[in-house]
Amino acid sequence: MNEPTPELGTPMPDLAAQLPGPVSAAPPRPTVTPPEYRLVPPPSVPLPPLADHPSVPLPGDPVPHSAPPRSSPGVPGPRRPTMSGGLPAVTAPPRVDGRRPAPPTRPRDPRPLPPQVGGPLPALRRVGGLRPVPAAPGRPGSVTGPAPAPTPQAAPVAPGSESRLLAGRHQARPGGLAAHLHTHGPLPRAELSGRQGARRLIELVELAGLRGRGGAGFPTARKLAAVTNAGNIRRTPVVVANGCEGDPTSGKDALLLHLAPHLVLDGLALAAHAVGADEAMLCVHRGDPLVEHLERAVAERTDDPAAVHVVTAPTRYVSSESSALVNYLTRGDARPTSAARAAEQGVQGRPTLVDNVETLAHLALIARHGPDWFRARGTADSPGTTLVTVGGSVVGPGVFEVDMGMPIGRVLGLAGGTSTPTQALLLGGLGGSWLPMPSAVDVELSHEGCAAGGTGLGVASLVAMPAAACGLRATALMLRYLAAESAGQCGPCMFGLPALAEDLDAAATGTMDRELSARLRNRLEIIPGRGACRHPDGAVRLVSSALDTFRRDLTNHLYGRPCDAVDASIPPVLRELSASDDGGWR
Amino acid sequence: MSGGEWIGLRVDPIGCRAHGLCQELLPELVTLDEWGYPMVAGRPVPPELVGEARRAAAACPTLALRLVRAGPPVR
Repeated sequence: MNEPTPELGTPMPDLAAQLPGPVSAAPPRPTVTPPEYRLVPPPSVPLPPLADHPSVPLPGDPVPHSAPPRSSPGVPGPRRPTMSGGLPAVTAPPRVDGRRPAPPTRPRDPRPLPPQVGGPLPALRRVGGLRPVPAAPGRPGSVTGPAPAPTPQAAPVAPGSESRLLAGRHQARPGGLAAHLHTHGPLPRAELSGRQGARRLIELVELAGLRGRGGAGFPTARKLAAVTNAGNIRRTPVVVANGCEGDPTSGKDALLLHLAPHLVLDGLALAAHAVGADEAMLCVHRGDPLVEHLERAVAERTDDPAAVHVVTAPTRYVSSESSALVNYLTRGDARPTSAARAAEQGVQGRPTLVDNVETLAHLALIARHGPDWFRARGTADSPGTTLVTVGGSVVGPGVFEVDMGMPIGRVLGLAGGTSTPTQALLLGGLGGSWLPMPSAVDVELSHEGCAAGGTGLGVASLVAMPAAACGLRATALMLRYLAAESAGQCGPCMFGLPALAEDLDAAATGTMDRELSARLRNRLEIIPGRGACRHPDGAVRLVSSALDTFRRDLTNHLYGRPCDAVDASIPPVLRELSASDDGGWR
Repeated sequence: MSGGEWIGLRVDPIGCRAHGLCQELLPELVTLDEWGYPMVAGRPVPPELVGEARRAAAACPTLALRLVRAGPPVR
């Protein structure tokens, strides 16, 4: 805490120069190690009529040249917020490139890549609970099933479908700025220039009804307005693009940043313009192979009003929470705080807009095409399309762009349907809810649709849970992870989450009695709402939904009949969660 | 905070170290969970308890217990 606070204005390169080693030579994202993921072509099998919904599992492109290798863990010494890749914009002096840590010195990842993955996509290995290679045991459907060939195929656009965010990106290969402009056209800078243009932009976003795509679904225009109003000549606003996709079940932000970085950067530039920010940060997790790719994209751009810095934050589950990011960018500590709202007092006390990267990409399209175009898809309350990550026991896991409000059954259909009898779906990531099958297929993937289904949309991800697995056991494993990923600052989280994990272990192993069950119910009531962030609330939501969804298992276990399900049936994305080996928050 | 305004209790969850003094001093409004962390009543502090509540807040070793104007939680 006694380190100098990083100045946002000029000395970014100095900060980088202070580093003991290469910026991203830090522990790689450790959450889901074993399965290699790659983008896969959609199943050639049973694509249901998707006429107006684009599927975006893209044909795999072996090793995009731009994807950097993973860095190796274990760089000693303190770390500070590292910012590099600032864009010499109209208002900022050119960055001195020489002081950026030289990427070539970065140690290579010593881990050999599995030979099966002829073309591993390092940048995309986190893409969701996508297709694990090799297929997990206990999933007969995908072990010997008709796994799509890893070779690139023709673009899988269903007839009449129209992908927005990932338009023109069917080769699973990122294009440069020129390709981006070719696909989307230039930003209407002239119409939106000046303060009047900034106001107009916020108006457009409000008319479009854009809601945040990071999980909370907060109306973006209200955030923009709040930050704008809080800014003044002495406290210039800051904009933070949150690309730290913390949830292991989600891969959509990584995919978006990989395939359409310029759409996100367009949105970032627009948001900065809207709120009058002179500084913008694009945050990803430390060790994220996308860093270099993003820095290159930033360097390609010359017309942005605010200096853009690519910042890497510690790879922890809760460090992508808004207050944690702000705390990290201010004090170098990536733990959540109970401080004031970021819109009023954010990074270095400046009004700060923190938006998910997908939200910003939508913003960039709204500026181009207008609110009516945006509302032409989705629902009245949840307009537009959304990226959704589908994993678990489905035939063709992947990231899909779907209309908000699409029934979950159709989303599963885009992923080729379930590959094995499925008992439940996990919606919204590790802090989300279990929904029992088959009724889950009718729940609509929108904020109001999920609320009607008794849950929340959260981060748009779906994990299909095979009937052969024990849902309680899976939830216990997830709780272990969530407990280990707690920042350990607030008592109810620090003690409550391990306690919940223990209770679930007892439930799963058949040692739970009625007394223990009552204690668990009580804990579920007293834990929520008492932490600085929503991490414990999410864990409670998950457990509560598990007790409802896996009621039959619970009853069986209560009578001392542990199920004979084997862990191998649990989808790897949930089974192989492991907390960060490095407990650092700096 | 002049008279007539609602006054509520709020615990700074990060500051709190489960000393438990608040519960000793203000059992009417504070209970402790199984780990010793306070759970404060969500309702306004009754006028006759405001003095006690102030004393409890002042006695908190980490100053994590605060009196706030009642309303939606600030976040």
